[in-house]
Amino acid sequence: MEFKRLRQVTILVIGVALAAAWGGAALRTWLVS
Amino acid sequence: MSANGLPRVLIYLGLMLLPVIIVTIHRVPPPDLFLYNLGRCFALTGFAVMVLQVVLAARVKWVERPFGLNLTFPFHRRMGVFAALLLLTHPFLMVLGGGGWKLLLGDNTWYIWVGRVALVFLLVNVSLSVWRIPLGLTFEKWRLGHDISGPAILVLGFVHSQYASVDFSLVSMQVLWAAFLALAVVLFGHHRFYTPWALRQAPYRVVDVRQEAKDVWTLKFAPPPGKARFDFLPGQFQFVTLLRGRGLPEEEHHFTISSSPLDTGFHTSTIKASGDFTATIGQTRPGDLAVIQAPFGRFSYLFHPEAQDLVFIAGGIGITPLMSNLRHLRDVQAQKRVLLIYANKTEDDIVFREELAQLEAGSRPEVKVIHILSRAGEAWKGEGGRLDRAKIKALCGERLGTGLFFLCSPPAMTENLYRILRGLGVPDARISFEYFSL
Repeated sequence: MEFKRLRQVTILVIGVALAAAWGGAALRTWLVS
Repeated sequence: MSANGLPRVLIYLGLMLLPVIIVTIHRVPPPDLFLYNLGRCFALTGFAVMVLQVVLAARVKWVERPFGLNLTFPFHRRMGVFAALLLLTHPFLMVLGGGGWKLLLGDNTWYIWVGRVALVFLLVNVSLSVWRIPLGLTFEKWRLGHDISGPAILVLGFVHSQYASVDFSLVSMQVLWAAFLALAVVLFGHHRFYTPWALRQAPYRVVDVRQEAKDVWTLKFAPPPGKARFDFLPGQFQFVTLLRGRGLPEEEHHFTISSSPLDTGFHTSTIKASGDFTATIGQTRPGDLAVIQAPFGRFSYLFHPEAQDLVFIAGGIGITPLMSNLRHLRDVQAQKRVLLIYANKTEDDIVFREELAQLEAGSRPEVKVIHILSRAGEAWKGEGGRLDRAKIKALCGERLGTGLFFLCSPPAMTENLYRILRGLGVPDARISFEYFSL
């Protein structure tokens, strides 16, 4: 149970962080272009 | 995910994303360069993750309660590596995105140098944490380095970002960064200075030291006069600093509680002398003081009240949290079935042998104990060999389809047992284990 939960939360957090950074950078670039 | 865990994960995500959300909403005018802006977003997110590292490591009960420290610490370790990758990548993205190589090599502005020093601290910090054991670094030395480099990274990163980034022209970002730094300072100070000081004001006392088996001792602790012992659940663990004098080491270590919570006025830990600090455990004497922070962990059958069929698998000294669970099951006369498979090298290594036999002779709970020895002598009549797939299948039988499994053994053995059980069709939700490694 613990392995699975740890893996799920880690993937979720890293995925959301990368997606947000990517989306934030794209949005900011688009807003000033 | 437990019912209480999800809100905490969402709060974590919210705090981690807050900097990028703020600077995006406020439309701080950045250059029209995607990779350059991605590098800045990596830096903002990486710094937020670094702040949250302190929250994860500070043993905050509210934070760890739904998960247990044996999940929050490995998560802390993984996120540390992730934050390091974000922060180490960000200057390269900014260079490739149009910032020019002078950012890395030619810019001698003082706040750029502060950032470079922070990245060096970060690289050293993460490298020592990931490769502590191969590098032969003792836990105490590593911890000292971690306690110095961690705050240094945060303070240097804070200063660097305030001066280097146009995003900090926003008052909201200045407030957020100040709040982040304050949160980290308060939690770090509470965890590393205030709590140890407060606990030392009312230390527990060792009232008995008993040898259980070869190299294994049980320490019995009593609370300070006039104070009640802390409440705990069977299978939980404690952080103990023994104040023994006599030139013996004074280090904080985590030990499972081996007694039942229903014992009044005392609790015990059963410890194997297996290296550095624990090698001196047998030299502990009644009257020695012990600074104790507890309880932590979720390795308890009480978190699974619906389970009627329990299968405990222990390797060596991994019996201790399971013994606490067994003693509690006995004390409450639980109407449950328990199969204990207890693996050791030799007969001399078996801990609690007589008490386990007594538990097996009782009717509530209905206990069956199977000892298995990897180096059995000729006189041994029980199971021999290793706990491989065939052995697990034969010993567990129909309980593979019904039992709730609790595993506690050296990490490599636990991981192997977990894989075997999964391979035998036991669902993840029916496997719990104590996997505690700092």
